[in-house]
Amino acid sequence: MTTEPKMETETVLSVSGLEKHYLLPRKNLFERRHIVRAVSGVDLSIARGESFGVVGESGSGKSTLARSVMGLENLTAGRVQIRGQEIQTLSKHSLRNLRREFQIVFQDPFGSLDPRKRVADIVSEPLGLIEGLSRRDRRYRIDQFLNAVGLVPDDGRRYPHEFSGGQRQRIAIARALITVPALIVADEPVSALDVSVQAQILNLFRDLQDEFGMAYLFISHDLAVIRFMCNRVAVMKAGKFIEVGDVAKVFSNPEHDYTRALLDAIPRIEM
Amino acid sequence: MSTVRRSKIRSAFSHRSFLVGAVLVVAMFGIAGISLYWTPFDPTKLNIPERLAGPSSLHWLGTDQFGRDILSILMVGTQNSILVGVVAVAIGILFGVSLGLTAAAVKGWTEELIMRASDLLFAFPAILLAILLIAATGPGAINATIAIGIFSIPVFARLTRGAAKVIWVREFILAARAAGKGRFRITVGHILPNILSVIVVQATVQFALAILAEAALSYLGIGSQPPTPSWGRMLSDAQSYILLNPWLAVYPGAAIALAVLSLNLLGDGLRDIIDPRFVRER
Repeated sequence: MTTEPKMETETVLSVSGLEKHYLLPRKNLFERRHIVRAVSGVDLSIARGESFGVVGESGSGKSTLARSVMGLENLTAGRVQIRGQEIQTLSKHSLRNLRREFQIVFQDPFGSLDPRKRVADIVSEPLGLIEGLSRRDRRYRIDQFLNAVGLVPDDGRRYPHEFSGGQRQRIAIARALITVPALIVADEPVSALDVSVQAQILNLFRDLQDEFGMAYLFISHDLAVIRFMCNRVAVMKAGKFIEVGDVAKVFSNPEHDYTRALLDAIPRIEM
Repeated sequence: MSTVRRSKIRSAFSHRSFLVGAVLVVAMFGIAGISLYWTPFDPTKLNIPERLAGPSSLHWLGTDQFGRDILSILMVGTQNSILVGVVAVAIGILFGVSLGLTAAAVKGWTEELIMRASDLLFAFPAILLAILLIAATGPGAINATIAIGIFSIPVFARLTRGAAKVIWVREFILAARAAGKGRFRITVGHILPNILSVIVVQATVQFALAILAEAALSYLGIGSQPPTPSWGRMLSDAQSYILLNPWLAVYPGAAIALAVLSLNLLGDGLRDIIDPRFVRER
């Protein structure tokens, strides 16, 4: 599909000059509409198999960044390239073809699964992006990926409400994984889960990366999660990246005061 | 199958207004069904010597001004009410739901246009406009049904749009878009299944309103035409004999009231049962 050679250092995601502004509704008829710069001037690139973390407090524009990368927002300015193809300028058909390369896992495992659909139908939804898949192939893939996330093929016949939060997130991960994408955007994928379940899901994310080799854009407000998951991290504040670097370096020797404040805010158990 | 579904069925039977409504509605459809094949007497057969007779073992509810058996007319009249109700609601759902789904999916100008047009239709008193419409097209059950159906379009359009917009902002819609689904496939695959219950509840209420509207139009003489038996026309016929035999008005009046009541009870019950909180609260 892509013309460039697949190298070890292939860039899976490249974002440059990303801006997303929202117009707030008028408070009264004669007032000017205020603009919120949810994301203002973000650049980043993620290599194949890499895990890139974005950390920041709520309202810093992390989720808008995630949706922009997924092509679910109309950008104010900037470019998003998936494996070298710019998603804003692609035709509808080409974008559809490209979508199998990047998928998303959302925060809320209750809101992100259609309550009226069986798990097999939820998980297989992105398979519509792959043309010419036979029924048997579909069936096989569904079972394969339910197994991959620690569910059993029989779960495919059940409905989302029959599962716990952690299991639902496994379903959402299977859905994101089923086209074997080059990139998975994970928007706060564990923050709605119990702490005991968080570790299981994070381990699952790591195991799946070892097995399938996709890159992660991992978004979280939780520094511990980012430290566990990521090679590189960007600290986001008010729509901007204020610090980008290797996780070890940023966390041990932060350059920016805000990063230091975030790190200091982690509760520690003193003995 | 699923535990929630099973407990929903169980709670449906313990929900009193649902149960009463369902039984009465089933009875109404049953009577209409029986009357297709059998009635105590031919509802159109005149028997002048026995006119305006009171209840007897032969004529359970007595006879009307032409000596026709009232029970038989009442039974056959059920068909008319059900037919008008079903067709009118079908018209309303077909157009109203499609318009509402379109408005919620397309947004912008299209949405404005659809919603303002339905506001316009909504603003007129329904019966008055039905009369106007029938004045233009001529009286009869078919035109009355169409007129009633047209006025239920904005009800369904508004309801559908409102419910659909709630679903459109859910995260699983974003997931569907990430899976490359367009607006049409999302509407059919995700939006419609999630709002179907709301539409079903509204359909029962609109069904009741349609029966009432048909009775009103027939009472005014512009609905179903003779000799088709109709509750509304029975009521208007009874008017002239109200002092001789007031029961003539009571029977069709009671039939209309009962039909409307049972459909509303059914709708209320359905609303409670379908609401996901219902199972947990009981």
